[in-house]
Amino acid sequence: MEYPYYPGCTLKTTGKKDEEAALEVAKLLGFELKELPTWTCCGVVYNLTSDVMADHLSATRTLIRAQEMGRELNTNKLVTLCSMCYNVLKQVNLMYKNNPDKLYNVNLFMDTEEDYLGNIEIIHFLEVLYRDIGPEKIKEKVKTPLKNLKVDPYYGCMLLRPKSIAFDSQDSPHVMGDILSALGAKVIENPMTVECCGAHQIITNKEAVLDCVQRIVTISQSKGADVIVTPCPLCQYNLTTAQKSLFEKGKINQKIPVIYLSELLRISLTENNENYLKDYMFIKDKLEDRGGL
Amino acid sequence: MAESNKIPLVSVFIMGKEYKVPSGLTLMKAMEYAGYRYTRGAGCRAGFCGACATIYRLKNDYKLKSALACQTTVDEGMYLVQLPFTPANKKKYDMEKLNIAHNALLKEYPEIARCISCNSCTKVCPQELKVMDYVQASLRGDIEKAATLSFDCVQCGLCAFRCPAEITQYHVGQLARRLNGKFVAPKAAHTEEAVAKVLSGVIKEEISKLKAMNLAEIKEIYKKRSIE
Ligand code: SF4
Ligand code: SF4
Ligand code: FES
Repeated sequence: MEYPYYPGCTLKTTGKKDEEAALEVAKLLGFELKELPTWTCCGVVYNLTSDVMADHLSATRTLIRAQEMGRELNTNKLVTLCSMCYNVLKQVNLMYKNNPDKLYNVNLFMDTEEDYLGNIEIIHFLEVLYRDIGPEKIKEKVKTPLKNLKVDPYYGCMLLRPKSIAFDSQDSPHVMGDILSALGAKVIENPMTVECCGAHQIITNKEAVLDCVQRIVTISQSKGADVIVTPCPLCQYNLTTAQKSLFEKGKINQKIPVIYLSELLRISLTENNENYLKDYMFIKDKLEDRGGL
Repeated sequence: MAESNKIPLVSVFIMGKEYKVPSGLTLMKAMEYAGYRYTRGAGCRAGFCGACATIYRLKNDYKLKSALACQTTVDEGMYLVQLPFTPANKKKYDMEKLNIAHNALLKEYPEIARCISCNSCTKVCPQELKVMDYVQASLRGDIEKAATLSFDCVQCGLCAFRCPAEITQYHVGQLARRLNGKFVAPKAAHTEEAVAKVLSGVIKEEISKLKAMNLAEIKEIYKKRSIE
């Protein structure tokens, strides 16, 4: 199976590792993410002002690119890795589905592109893993069970809010936990799992991000997690950089590693994973300690 | 001259006034034919300098079109406007202090993050460059792509006039090409050899010979020069 894939700017800059790992995980699980030949920024945030169409142009252009590639690959799906991109693209798409007049209007404006027909379905990589592949099949492919590794799946807010775009329960999501259990990991429950990491405030109001992250990691640690796992490059960035500051300020006693879901999957789905483990010696140590490797 | 040999005339509108000009003239020559004299907005007259940015409309067409006046011939019913100059945000930077981190271009031109992908820049570009794509490549730190896509830019300024995000695309592209040349693209060995040769004094000798010649001698060797 081949899916049209939209990376977004983060995956090409601060989130490169996520993309690398996800592309490999896809191959290991028997599907392929095919990058759209050209793409623009997703728009970064979904503009809630109902009559400003200009801010939706970026996302619309991407939907048209997906429509073009989808014809070749015979699918109407477009996969994203970044939760932020998922959120924006899916909300814009939904807005067109609910407002045909807006779709008509945008197509008039974009008169050098083919019309967008409104049929694309935006899905996150996590959904492909859960719905199209499924924890059972993933379990069969595990080469290195993450026996006794205590993982804290952190969703952040962009995948599950607003309700109209959520693909899992907004209060107690289970999709990521189910996948991690399939890898043999011990999944802990953190009530902060769907709380915001502070998102773009990192640029304008770093203190706000520090507060958010402090709450998330403190509970994670009190529950004994070895590692926080996230599917979102922005959450990974915020959780990692904010912990550095919190630690320096003495607001947390120790830092907890944050890993992309894709990286942990790659470690677990490959036999010779020494190379992938070298940035995560603590995982190796834990697995060996507890007889996992 | 027989009637049939006459060059047909077309109507164009300059500053809102109608002129009949011979078909086949470039916009620039048509303006001059009509009696205008360029004091700005003309340079190389060969499509390289980008000084002659022009916008125009055709009757009954909602599209606002654009062209380089020295490269485009007149069409019936063109309403022409010459743009003498684009006020632009141009950064001063020290190449020695720059790098190619993913935010290198964003740092100098943070306004590129305002791009809404309207594609107006691409549509207006007389060089038919993928301007939006090079702005987007700049935004995500793909310096090589931004440099390649903007390579044929003549800095006419039309894209900057059309941009709702007030980006000066061509200066961003120029910085991308400079960074690409300095840090990414392989070094041109022949240039280094040539520079070394110059420094070794080969040219000095030739120049001093020339300097010692009188006009007649110089004319003589000029006539005999070999042309590639
Ligand atoms: S990119 Fe802009 S400045 Fe360069 S040639 Fe095209 S329109 Fe002119
Ligand atoms: S005109 Fe400006 S906002 Fe529109 S695509 Fe070009 S750079 Fe982006
Ligand atoms: S005058 Fe130089 S490009 Fe037209």
